[in-house]
Parts: sequence; C-alpha cells; structure tokens
Amino acid sequence: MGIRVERVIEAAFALSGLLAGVAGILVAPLFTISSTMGTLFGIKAFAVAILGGIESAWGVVLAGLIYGIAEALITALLGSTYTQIVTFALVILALALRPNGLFGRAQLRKV
Amino acid sequence: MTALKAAAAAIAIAVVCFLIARGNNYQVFIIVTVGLTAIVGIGLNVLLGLNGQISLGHVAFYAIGAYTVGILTTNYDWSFWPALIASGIVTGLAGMLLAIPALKVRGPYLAMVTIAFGFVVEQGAAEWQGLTGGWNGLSGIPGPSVFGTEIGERGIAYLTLALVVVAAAAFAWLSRSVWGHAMRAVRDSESASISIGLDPTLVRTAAFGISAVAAGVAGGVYAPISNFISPESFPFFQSILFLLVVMLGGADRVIGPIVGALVVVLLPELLATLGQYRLLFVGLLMLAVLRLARRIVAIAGDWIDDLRLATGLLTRVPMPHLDGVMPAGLARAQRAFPLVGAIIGLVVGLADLSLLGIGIPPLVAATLALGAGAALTGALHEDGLADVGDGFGGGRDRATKLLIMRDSRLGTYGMIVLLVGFVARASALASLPLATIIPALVVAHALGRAVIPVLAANMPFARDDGLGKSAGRPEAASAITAIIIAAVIALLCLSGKEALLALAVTVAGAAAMALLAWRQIGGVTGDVFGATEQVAETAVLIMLAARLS
Repeated sequence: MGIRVERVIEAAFALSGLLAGVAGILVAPLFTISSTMGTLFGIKAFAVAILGGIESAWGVVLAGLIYGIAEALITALLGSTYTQIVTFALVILALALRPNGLFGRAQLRKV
Repeated sequence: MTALKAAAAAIAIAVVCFLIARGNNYQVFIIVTVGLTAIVGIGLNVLLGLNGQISLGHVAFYAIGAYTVGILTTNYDWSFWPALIASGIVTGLAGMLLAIPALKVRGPYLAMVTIAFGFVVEQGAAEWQGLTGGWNGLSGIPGPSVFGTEIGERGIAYLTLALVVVAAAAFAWLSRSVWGHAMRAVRDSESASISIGLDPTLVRTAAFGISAVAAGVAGGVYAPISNFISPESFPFFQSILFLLVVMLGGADRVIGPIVGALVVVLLPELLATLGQYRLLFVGLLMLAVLRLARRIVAIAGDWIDDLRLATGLLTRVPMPHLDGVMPAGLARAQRAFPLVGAIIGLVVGLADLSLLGIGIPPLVAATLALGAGAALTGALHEDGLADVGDGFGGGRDRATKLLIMRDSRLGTYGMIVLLVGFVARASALASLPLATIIPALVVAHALGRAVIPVLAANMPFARDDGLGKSAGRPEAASAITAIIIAAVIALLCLSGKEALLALAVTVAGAAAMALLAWRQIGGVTGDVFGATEQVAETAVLIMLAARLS
C-alpha cells in the first residue's frame, strides 16, 4: 500500500523514546537518580500500557491513574513491604479476568 | 540421532568430565553455572520453542526450586536428594498455577503476566522472613551426599552434567513425541489444533509445567553449589538472560539452549579483563550476535562441512559422503586442509611419544609413527611423491611423464625419492627433543597441507582428469584462508623465529616444486600436490631438527 514499514517502525521507536524522555525529566526532581532505577519504572510503565489495553490511549492514561492510586492505597493500608507483591498480583488477576486489558477490545484472531 | 551425533555428544561429555576433574574451584563453578543455565534453557525451549509462549519470569521458578531445597535442607533437615525431587514437584505445581492466568493471554499480555509473577516471587521471598530469611537469605545449604559422603563441588558438577544430558534427551524425545507435535500444532494454529481434537489449555499447561520443573530442578542444584541464596540471587535480569539462552541457540532445537548457555555464561567471564565496562560490551556483543546469528550458524555449518570433506579426502577416517564421492564443495573445502593436517600431525606426534614412552629407541619410534601417519592418510601424499619421482625422472616428454605418473608400478626414481623423503623425516623426527615433537609435527603437517590449495588456485592443470583436477579450483580466498590458518598454527606452536623460518622453507619448497612441475609437465596434477606436501613437510621437519636439536 506504499507504507514505508521501516520508517514507520523507526518513527514509533523515536516517539516512544521521546515520551519516555519527557517522563524522565519529570521524574528527576522527585527521586534520587541512579543508573539502575530504570528497570522498575520500565516494568511499571509496561504494566500500565498492558493494563490499559494496547491501542487504547485513554485507557492507558486511566490505567496509569488507577495503578498509581492502587499503589498508594496498598502502601497506606498494608505498609510499603507489600506494595509490589500486591500490585503485581493484582496485575496478574486483572489480566486473568480481562485478557485484553481493562479497556482494550478483543483482538481479532487470525486463523 | 545419527551415529555421528552420538559420537560428538560422547566426546563432548568426555571433554566436560575431563574439565571437571582437572579444573579449579572457580572453573568448576563456571561449568555448573553453564550446565544449570542450559537446563533452564532446555525447559524454556519447551515453552517458547515447541509451544510458542514467552516467559519473562522464569527466574521465579529457578528461585522457587532453590528456596525449596534451601528451606527443606536447612530448616527441616531433609537430605538433598528428596529435597531436589520436592523442588521439581513444587515448581511443577507453581508452573501449572501460573498457567491459569497465563493461558488466557497472548503476546505482550503474557509477557506482562510472567514479569509480574517474577516480581511477586522475588518480593515474596524478601518479605516472608520466617520461611526464607528475607533479604538476609539462607546460608549453609548442605551439599548432596552419596552413601554418607558429601560429593562436593566436583560431584555437583557431574550431577549437573548428568541432568543436562537427561534434559536434552528428554527434550529430544518430547520433541518427536505426540505431545511435542501437539505443542507445535497449538503454537502454529490454535483453531486448527482444536479442530483435530487437541485441547490447547491442557497442552499449554503441560508446557508451562514441564518448563517450570526444569527451571526448578536447576534452581535446586544451584542452592548447594552457591551455598547462599537471597532474593538478590534471582534478579529480573536473569529471566531475560534465560530467554536469550533459547533465542541465541535457536528455538525448538535440542542443542540450541546448550550453545546459548555457553555464550551467555562464558562471554562475560571471558571479558572479565574489561572490568566495569564488561556488561556494556556483553550487551553490544549480544545485539551483534542476535543480528548475525543466522550468518554465524551458516558460516559454522560451512566450516563443519568443509572439515568433513577435507577429512574424508585427506585421511582414511570414515566420513559420511553426503553428496557423493566428488562433491562440488571440495574446492572450497581445501581451506580446511591445514586444520586436518594439524590433527594428523598431532596423531603422529602422540604415536611417537607413546612409543618413546614404552622405551622404544627414537629412530625406531619415529619410523613407526610415520608409518602410523601413512596408515591414517592412506599414504596419499607418499603415493604422489613416488609417482612424481618416476615421471619427472624417467619420462622423455610431457605425455610420457604423465603416462608414467599414472602407472601403478614403482620405478627406481620414485623408490629413491620416497626413500630419501621417508628417511629424512624419520631421522629428523628422531633427533627432535621430546617437548618439540608434537608442535613440530603439527606445524609441518599443517603447512604441508596449506600449499595444496595455493597451488590448486594458481597453477594450470597438466591433465583434464584425475583427483587433483576433479576436486576443483579453489578461489583465491580459500587459498589465503588456508595460508592464514597454517601461519596462525605455526605461530601458536613455535617461537616467532622458528615459525617464520618454517613459513619460509614451506614457501621455498612449494615454489621449487611448482617451477619444476611447470617445466616438466606444464602444470600441476594431484600427484604434484601430494609431492609438494611431502617436500614442504620434510623441509619444515629438517629445519626444525637443525635448529632445535
């Protein structure tokens, strides 16, 4: 159809890098920065993207909000030791109940 | 499994046993790490390779296995063996448990579920202090015992080797069994697999369970060898490495995860001199390897083909002739001649040393060792030397010379040349000091074989048929590769000066033979190749005998 596949992939990577960079700028004043801090952020971001449902921009924003509030609530109610265990367990549970994310639509299966 | 593969596996196992027996503690630990990583990789290959499901949380099963053994042996005084079996059972159950949410999701959603599982297990191990010791971890995990004696690090290494063999064999069996085909069917098309009566849920759960058991058992062995486990022993990064192990070696292949584990574990160790930049380099190399994996495998495959062809041509060692007696690849295979030559030289050298070792006098031992070498090669090159002697010495014109060279009878000229060559080599070998026998023979045979592709690439052929011609004309690149390999072998085996001199006498001998052949019969034949090999080999041995004895 005349779409330059490689250019589109490049652009997608560049755009996602740009947005991650913006988020990094915003995070910098809030936390102590170290070279190993990225993994957990990356995983949480991935979790939010998946929970929101791929291809659903507003879903991801909402999922990010829900994830943040859930994390804060768990920390407040159960103590910080259980934050990650419970939030990640909730991620598994959420995906088990809604395999396409909280706001995603079922994808067409190609046979 | 073909006989060739079985033989290769037996040799590999023997080499690893040797390394375990001779290695120091650090080396044994590295061997165990490679083995355990390979076991996890083989298990993951069931999930990823056969069943097409991804797991970015496999370190969790490894951790569960390690903690099961650690907790049962330290807190409950179990001995290692039942604890290891328990770790397999516990992780198998955990795998099937994870399968419940995992079965509903695909692709990136499945990746997320497994990542989350990995984090839950890691954090769980850290927070459940009563059972796991929390961040302080568990230490003093007792090693396995056999008949009341602890088998120690080396024993664990042998156990790991045995487990790798069992895991690889089990994978090979599974891959060909009904279950293996069912897993591939579900991977390739779920709907189609349902339509032929398969239950994708059951098949996927089995794949999860099997891969979890492999990871758990590996973790169970890891606990005593590291003697200390804590949540930090099982970082998320490790899950990515496990995945890399499968991807590097090639999914759905028995040998794949073993090769992958070798690369993933050994590469960082080999680069230890780079210090803090090590991981950076490892990362870059991994990217390069993933990009070039197909080409690397193809190149390695070509070299194995070439070695097989070259060995089949140059020796009497039985080799499968997959593409007929005179395959098209024979021209390129000549680049592997120096490698085969080095191995022949090594065999002759070992024969000589063993004969000397049982008290046989040097000249006798050298003569017998050369005889053994001739038996190994079928006296291929000696035959060429004798024919060239007869032809060049006796024939009046080019046609007669070529006719004499093809005559199977041995004449006086050939006899004399053969005798001079053989006695010169035997006496040179007999006069060499013990320590230089193997290097000298390896270099002489490697250099001697390297001249063949050079002549074949550059000289006109004197006849239109025969072995030399039908092997085909190698490209210049193959000839250059052969020279480089031979030169590297010479530099590795000898001191710089001797190596350069060896190269020089080889070049001189080959040039003299090429000139002679050109003037006598206007080009080269297979016999001329053999004769040139003999001249170069003899010249190198004489030079080394003159300088070293």
